[in-house]
Amino acid sequence: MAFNSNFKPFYDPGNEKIHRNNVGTNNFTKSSEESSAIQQQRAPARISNKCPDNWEPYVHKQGDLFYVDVKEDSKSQSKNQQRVNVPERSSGHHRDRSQPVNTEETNNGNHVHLENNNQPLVSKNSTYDPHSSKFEVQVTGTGYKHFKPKILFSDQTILKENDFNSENLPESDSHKKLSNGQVSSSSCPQSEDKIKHVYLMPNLRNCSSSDKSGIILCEKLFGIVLCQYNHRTSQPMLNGNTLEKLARERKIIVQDVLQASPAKQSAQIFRGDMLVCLNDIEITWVNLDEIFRSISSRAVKLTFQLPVVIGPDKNPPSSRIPPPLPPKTYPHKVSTCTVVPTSPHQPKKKHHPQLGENILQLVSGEDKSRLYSFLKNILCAVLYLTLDSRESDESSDGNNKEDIVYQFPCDLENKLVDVRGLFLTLCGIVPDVTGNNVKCCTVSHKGELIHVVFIREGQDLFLMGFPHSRVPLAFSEVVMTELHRLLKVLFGSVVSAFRSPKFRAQLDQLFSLTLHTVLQNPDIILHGPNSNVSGQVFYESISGAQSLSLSQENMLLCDEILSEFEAADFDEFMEEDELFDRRAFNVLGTCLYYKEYLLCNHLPASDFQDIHLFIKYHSLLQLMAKKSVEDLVIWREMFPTRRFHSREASPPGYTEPTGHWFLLLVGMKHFLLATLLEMGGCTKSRNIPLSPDPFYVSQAKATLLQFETDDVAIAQSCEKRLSADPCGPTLVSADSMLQGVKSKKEENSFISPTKVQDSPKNPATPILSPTYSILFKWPLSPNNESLSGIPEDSPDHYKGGSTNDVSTPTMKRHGSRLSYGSNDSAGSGSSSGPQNKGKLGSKSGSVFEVNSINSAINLEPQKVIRVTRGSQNTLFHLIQFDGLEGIVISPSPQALAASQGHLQSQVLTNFYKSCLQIRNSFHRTSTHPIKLNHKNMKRRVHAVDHQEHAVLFRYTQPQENKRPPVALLYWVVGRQLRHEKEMFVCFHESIPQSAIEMAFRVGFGT
Amino acid sequence: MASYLVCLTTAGGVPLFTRTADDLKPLPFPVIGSLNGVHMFGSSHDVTLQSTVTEDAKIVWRVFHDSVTLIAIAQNDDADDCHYSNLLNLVFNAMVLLVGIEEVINMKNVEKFKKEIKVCYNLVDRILGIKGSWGFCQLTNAVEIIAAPENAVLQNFLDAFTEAAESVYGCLFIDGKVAVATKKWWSLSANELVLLSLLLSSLTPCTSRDIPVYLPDSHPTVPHRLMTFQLTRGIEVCVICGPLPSLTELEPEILRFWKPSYDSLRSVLKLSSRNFPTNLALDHNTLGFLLINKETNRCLCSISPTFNGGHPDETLSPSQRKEVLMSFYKRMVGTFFSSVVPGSESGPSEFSHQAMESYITTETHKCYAMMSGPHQLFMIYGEGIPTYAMRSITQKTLSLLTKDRNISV
Repeated sequence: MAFNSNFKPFYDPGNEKIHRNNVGTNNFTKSSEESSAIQQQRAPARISNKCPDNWEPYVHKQGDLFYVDVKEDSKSQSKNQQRVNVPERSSGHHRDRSQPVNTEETNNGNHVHLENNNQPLVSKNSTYDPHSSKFEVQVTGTGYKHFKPKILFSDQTILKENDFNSENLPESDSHKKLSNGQVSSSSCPQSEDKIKHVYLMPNLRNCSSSDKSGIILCEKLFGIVLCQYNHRTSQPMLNGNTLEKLARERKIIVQDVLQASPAKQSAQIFRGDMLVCLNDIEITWVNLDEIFRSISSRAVKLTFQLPVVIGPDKNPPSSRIPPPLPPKTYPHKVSTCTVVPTSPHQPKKKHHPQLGENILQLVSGEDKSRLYSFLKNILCAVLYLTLDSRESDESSDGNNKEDIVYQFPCDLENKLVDVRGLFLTLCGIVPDVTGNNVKCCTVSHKGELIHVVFIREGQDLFLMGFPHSRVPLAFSEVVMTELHRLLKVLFGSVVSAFRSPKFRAQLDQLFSLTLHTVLQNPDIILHGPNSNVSGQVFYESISGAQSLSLSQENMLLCDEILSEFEAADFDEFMEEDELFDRRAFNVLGTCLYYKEYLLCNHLPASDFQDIHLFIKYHSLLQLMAKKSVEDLVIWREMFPTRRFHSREASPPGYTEPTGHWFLLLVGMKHFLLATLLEMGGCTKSRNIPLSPDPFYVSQAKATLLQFETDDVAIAQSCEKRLSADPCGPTLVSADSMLQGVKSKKEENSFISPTKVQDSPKNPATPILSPTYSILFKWPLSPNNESLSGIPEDSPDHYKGGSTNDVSTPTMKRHGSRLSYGSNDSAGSGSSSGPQNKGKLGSKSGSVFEVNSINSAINLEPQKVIRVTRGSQNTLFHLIQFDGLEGIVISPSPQALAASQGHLQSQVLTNFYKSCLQIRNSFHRTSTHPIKLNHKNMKRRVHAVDHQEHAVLFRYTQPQENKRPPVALLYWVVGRQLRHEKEMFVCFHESIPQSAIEMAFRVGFGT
Repeated sequence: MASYLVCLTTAGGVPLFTRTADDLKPLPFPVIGSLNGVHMFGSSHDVTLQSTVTEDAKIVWRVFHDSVTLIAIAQNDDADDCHYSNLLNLVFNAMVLLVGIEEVINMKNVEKFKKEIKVCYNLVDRILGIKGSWGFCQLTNAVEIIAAPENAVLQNFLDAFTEAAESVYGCLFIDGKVAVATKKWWSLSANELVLLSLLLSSLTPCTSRDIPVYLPDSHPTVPHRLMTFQLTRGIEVCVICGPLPSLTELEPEILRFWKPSYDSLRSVLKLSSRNFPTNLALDHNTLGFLLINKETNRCLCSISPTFNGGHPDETLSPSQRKEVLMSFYKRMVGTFFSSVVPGSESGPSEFSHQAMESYITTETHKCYAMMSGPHQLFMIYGEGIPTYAMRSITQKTLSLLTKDRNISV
């Protein structure tokens, strides 16, 4: 009911009153009859079964789903249409229509589809979201262009009409997709560049060691007969060209497919197909022999380009389907479908075996081939090897790669793969010597230092190697630990993740994304303009979510809305007959992200960390931050660490029900809602694998829509918070500090708190030389006009002011459902914040508003928030990490942008680098008290509850005009509290250290 | 520090010797073979295996002059690799010191060399801390000194004695630390200084000895004679000479030259746990310090700087302080600070600005490090000292120690 009433104003603000009146009466019937407008909405909170969603066709057989639909602006669309036929784009679709080749493929995991839906919702309802234009501006569309599906060819108007206003939406939609794929090829002259990927198991028994030629090998391994064949349209006879050029440019064309060969069984390779890549390596006549010789017994990915068909008489040889279709189509692609292509029910079946190869492009906008060429220049590898002698001793040729269970990237040349024997042997013998498994090792190759991190799983070995210049050792260890956990969460265990061929493609995706982010592909810009590589490394190495602290009112709203969803009180939205059924799932908890920030978390810490890892390693937050996502639905089963991989016994007297757990991610615009669902216990038991439940998906979407309604407008306040409000302690730039040191000497003088508070308003204050005006940039923002000089007043001011009118309507509507008690625990700390501030101000006689770092919630930032003592702000940067909650608090990009400068960026680089070191030493000392030394002393010395570690850096400005050199000295301080909380600050050394000590103490109540 | 050391020929992988800590079983031969094998396998693929880390141990490989491979297995104390390679470097130089570089590099008869190399076992054990205590010398690559007010007097005695021995290299060791040395002695390289001082402390005590040494950096091929004479318990004087004079010629001279210094020597010996003059009073929170001069390759260390056994509620015994000071040094140098330890500059060079000071606080102690010109001071304080006070106290201590004329670090 609450959902409904929340929707209405959204669709038609004028109807709001009527609906409120209807609340509680016959809401269900009324609304269902009422407006087709609601049905057009993407989130039909009601009758979900009748109105399947766009994602449905893409649900994988396994039940997994990875569906992302990014809103594009019109400009990039036109671009897309021009580029529509670049080879990579349609990789999945051809295979959609054919029977999978082997098990690896059939059972394959996530299903990815990118679709350009041209935003019908917004175009129809321009009042939908005041921000929409703004969001669209941010959408660049670059990187997505290669992945426009066939629907692009369709007439956009037809799509709009068909897509959203009829009951049989999926039929028309999917029908269009299908026929488009076929029609387009004839209508579009560029469509010759069709690409298909085929996975084949090489038939090694057929070939003997004497076979050297790639052509013969190809024939023996796969049953594909190749011929040299010049493309007639593009190349006449290459008479005058040199032999080498000929070899390079000549295409490799399939002449025939042998009977009873893997290729034949796949029913995907046909005469005339052009072989372009093998395992993503471009193949030419020059390297053909070499590449085929290197094929091992593992499945091989062959990439073919489909030939251009010039005349109507050029039907493909193995056509099994009568040709009602346009001549250019390849009937074999639909041949395995049991239904005629026009059948409305077809798409669901057809889309099943899509390999999720596009996730990389979907979420990062990065082209896979570009990633591969990028990776070629970097010595890195993800390997899963086995020590098992049974598997490895069969043949001991030099080229034998039996021990490689999994390899990424599948380059044929990789030094780390060549020396894998070294790693295997090390892991075999080192435990004999030291009693412990190898954690990492460092090798150098051609002067480049490479760190390899290991995890041993029984007889198997999972290792990753990264160059030191890009990934410091501490970071690679973190990546390993996190990936290890993520693999366990996603696949149940690491062994099954790598051993089951069905997960291979999923792993490929995961690792390509991981390498993409971890190796710092220069395209990523994560943390604002000041972000630098080391900063990114540090942020990535903290396994926590950056949180955005909203005002208490908004926080409450978020909690409210999420709680409502979690309560699963869906009575009004369910069919009569369903109403009395058991629920399919239990909602265990949710968490909400906006862009890359966590807004709200209702999950247990461990579950949240699991989910956050999934989101992090699929780069979803970067996607949410960069693009306005039209529709994102991800569904998959997971194995939460808490239930499956934790050794802690459950508390006596109660055991949580066993069952299955599912992760549901729903994204819309910049919001991402993660839901952990439980099947088991009191829920209906159903068969596994389970596809996403449309009902829950639509409910989740409805929940997201609630945040967008006018009277909630969380996005608005988030944006405001991000852009205008100083949501943390104000930062100062090192550059200005350096100038300040020159001109000002009174930095150590202490003045009363009121005076400092006044100073922002009073630029005439002697302290405020123009140099420092940057400090006081924030309070001048329009939102903060109600700034008061007395700190204690300001929270009330704020509550009474702008927020109140925003929040009241919703609160009213929620009425009795409002339960303040159910808000998260962090709220408890909020009340003490302002008082603390007041007390401190009077007690210490200096400005000391640490409440802002005190908890994630009670930020009341209306003024320059200072955590440092002294008359000047000396804070350069601050990061706080709460390991229990998995939350990171750091200044917003805007705040960082405000304190920009050349020197500042150097300072920050050093800050991030030393934080990584400091953090590393915290962890090592806390987790591994040295064991070799049996003296009691050692353990006592290292068993510390809190530690502080600081480094002072000096920068000396180059001398000019024989003036004395000016030096900038600044501290980087890291502090660990109670093992889980960590805080890192960077500040100018001019303030006495006692201030820092107190900042830590007061901030955390130690 | 280290638990095992394996030395093999690089070409054939023949084990030359292994050293094992007392409480551990020796490594079985196949393990030694595999440890060397992985390294060889890597180098055949143009990949150099440098180190491997487990939860609590670290294995380091180094090849010297394509002739000798050293593998050390040591406790992993989160230190930069440079500390481990420094140790292996010292081990190799120790072999050169006692056998000569020709023998080590052009090993003709492996069996013969195996016998010859036995002379350096004690020194190697000493360097790696495999047996007995482990000092600051090999860690900092600077020779440890004792700063006594009597040093000025002793310098005259030493100069006179060295001249009588027809040498320019003379040095007086008190309790394993250098009290005074001739100018020429100080001009030796850091490696040589450290190795000579470790060599003296690794040898079993005797009244006088004459051993051939090859100075690894200055004269790796020419043998010199190192003659040592025990003056009294814990005090040795040594000279490095050419072929003359013989030990028997020099022995009678000892009494003549050193008898008048007996009282001074006794009073220096009293300082041997404190290592610096008693008239210098440090802050009562100070539990110990390590002062290094990067230019002169000397270090001064004290783990009982206060008189009355330190602060009443102190938590660390002297040996624990030493341990903490060492681990603090290892954590800092190579990551934030560069030092005379070779390779220690690669870590700090990743920062665009120079790290000047650093501190660590824990529940039992606090540590502070300060760089100032050639000096590096590492301090350890009790937990009672306020964090904000450490900086100024460390600064005061540094100026106190470096300005004092009796202390020539």
